Amino acid sequence: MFLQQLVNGLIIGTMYSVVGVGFTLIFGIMRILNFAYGEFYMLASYGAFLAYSELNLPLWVVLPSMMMVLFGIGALTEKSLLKPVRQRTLDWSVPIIMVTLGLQIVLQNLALIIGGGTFRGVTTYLKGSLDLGWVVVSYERLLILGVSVILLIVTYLLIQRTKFGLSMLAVSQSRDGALLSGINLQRVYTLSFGLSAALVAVPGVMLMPLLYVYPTVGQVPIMKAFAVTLLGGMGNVEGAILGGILLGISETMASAYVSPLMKDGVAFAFMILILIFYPAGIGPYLQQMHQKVVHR
Amino acid sequence: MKRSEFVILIFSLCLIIVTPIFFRNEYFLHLLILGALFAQLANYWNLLDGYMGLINFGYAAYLGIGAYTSALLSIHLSFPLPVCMLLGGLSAGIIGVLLTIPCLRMVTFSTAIVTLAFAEIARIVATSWTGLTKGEMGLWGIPSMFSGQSKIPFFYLAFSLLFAGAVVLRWIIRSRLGIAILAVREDEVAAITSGVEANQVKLLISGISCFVAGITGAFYAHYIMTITPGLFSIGYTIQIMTMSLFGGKGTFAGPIVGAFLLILLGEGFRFMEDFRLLIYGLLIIGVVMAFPTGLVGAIDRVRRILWLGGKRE
Repeated sequence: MFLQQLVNGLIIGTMYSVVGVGFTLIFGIMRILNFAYGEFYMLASYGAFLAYSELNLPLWVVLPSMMMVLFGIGALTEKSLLKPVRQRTLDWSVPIIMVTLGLQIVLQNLALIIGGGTFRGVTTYLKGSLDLGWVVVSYERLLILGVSVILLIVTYLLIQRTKFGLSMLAVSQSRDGALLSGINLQRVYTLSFGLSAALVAVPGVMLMPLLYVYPTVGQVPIMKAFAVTLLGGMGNVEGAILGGILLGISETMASAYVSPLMKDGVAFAFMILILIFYPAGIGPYLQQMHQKVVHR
Repeated sequence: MKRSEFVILIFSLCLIIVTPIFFRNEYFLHLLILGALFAQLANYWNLLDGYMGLINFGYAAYLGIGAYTSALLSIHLSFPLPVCMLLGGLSAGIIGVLLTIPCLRMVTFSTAIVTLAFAEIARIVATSWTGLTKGEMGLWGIPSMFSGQSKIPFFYLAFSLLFAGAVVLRWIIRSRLGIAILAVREDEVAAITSGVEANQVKLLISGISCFVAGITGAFYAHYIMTITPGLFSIGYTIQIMTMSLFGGKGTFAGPIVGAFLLILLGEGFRFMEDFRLLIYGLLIIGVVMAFPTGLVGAIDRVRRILWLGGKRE
């Protein structure tokens, strides 16, 4: 029972990590909270529903195509809505948060008008489950685990090893410093906004059988994204990965041993408790430990 | 007080007194009452966030705490209503101070999410503690403040609360405390080295701000007479934030203008039925893209262009 819950929490936690990484990336680079993030998830979910159950496309086509579509939507949003605001004012953090708030309302209502308020979704992508004796995992959850682990590794490598990733890191450390080293800020903003939307497209596709899809479904992932970002340290990618897994495990434990109704409440209380002892999130402590180990 | 401010004060007072005499439409009065309540909330959210820079994304929680405290006290213990409202405000204020204590150690945006998480916890507690709050069914049968169906007494009370709140806010900002608040926002370390007790200022202002939210929530409970856990939801917080930012964060007139404008516009688009909220969202995006510093900032800019003075940005 305990192990089963642990494994379930771990699997859902890796998805939360993906959600959190996309959100924390944008916070680190642009110093804004993207309130329309949940709506990107919602768009991907609707897209997956249409492609998978109406057009009967296989999942291995749906997932990458949704990522590409959302990358386009994200980059376009940045270029058409956020760039003009940035050009008009120096202190653009708050106005841009407002624009994302407005975008959230617009996208939710667009979905409501076009798709109606009904819950839609497919029951499963994969049937059957793997019985190991001490724990039972459905193939679908294994697929979720596999996809998110691969995605997290690829994202991590993209940030740490490629030139684009390094320029993102530079911008998040110091905007002026990055500008002085000849990094094209505008390009970094646009591409990282697209990347963030593409990341959240994956949970949008993969979690659709669990959460279904309806116009306000975005409220669920954005709350998780907030929690993970805070837990991991604002703008800290490694912290977000660990934070997502912690959140997933604490949620499943709470729902198994306290009450399913109190699931989110217990998870949030746990989060606040951690923050009382580690006010900057767990990410910075992780890095300190890492450095100690490396330099020994 | 400058002469122009005095003129605006007298003019708005007259407008408030005269409005219910000419507009007998109950629905319009209801909208104005809601506008006054939201203006109050936006004002005091602005005190916390715009003036002091302590970001609070869970402001609706204090609204809900005030509403539920006051409603439960009046239903079960049948205290007189002013006492209930005061106790509702006090409980919200105390909880606000208690939540600010851990926030003192955190970096700016972390407080945003801690407060958000707190509001979610409060909402979940209000939903699942069905014995006390009746859960999603909502608490109904809350005693009303005034007997009779007319909305006019509510109108005057709501606007006098808003008026008193605005005067107190103005006084706080103009006092030594106000200078301390601005110093904390601009540079906390510099403020502390100049002898400002930054943590005490933060706790005091959180207390005041949450107290007002609690009182407003209590007023709402005794005005609408039914409340649901939806009152704690992030939707209300976002609405309050939007009003404050739409009008101009960190300005005095901004939140009031924003609250009334958005309430009336939101209703004005009702003839568009399903498209109402869509247009509302597009409007927010459009205004922010055109005037990133909010409407009041835009007015200041126009005045500067016309050589009429106006504040520097």
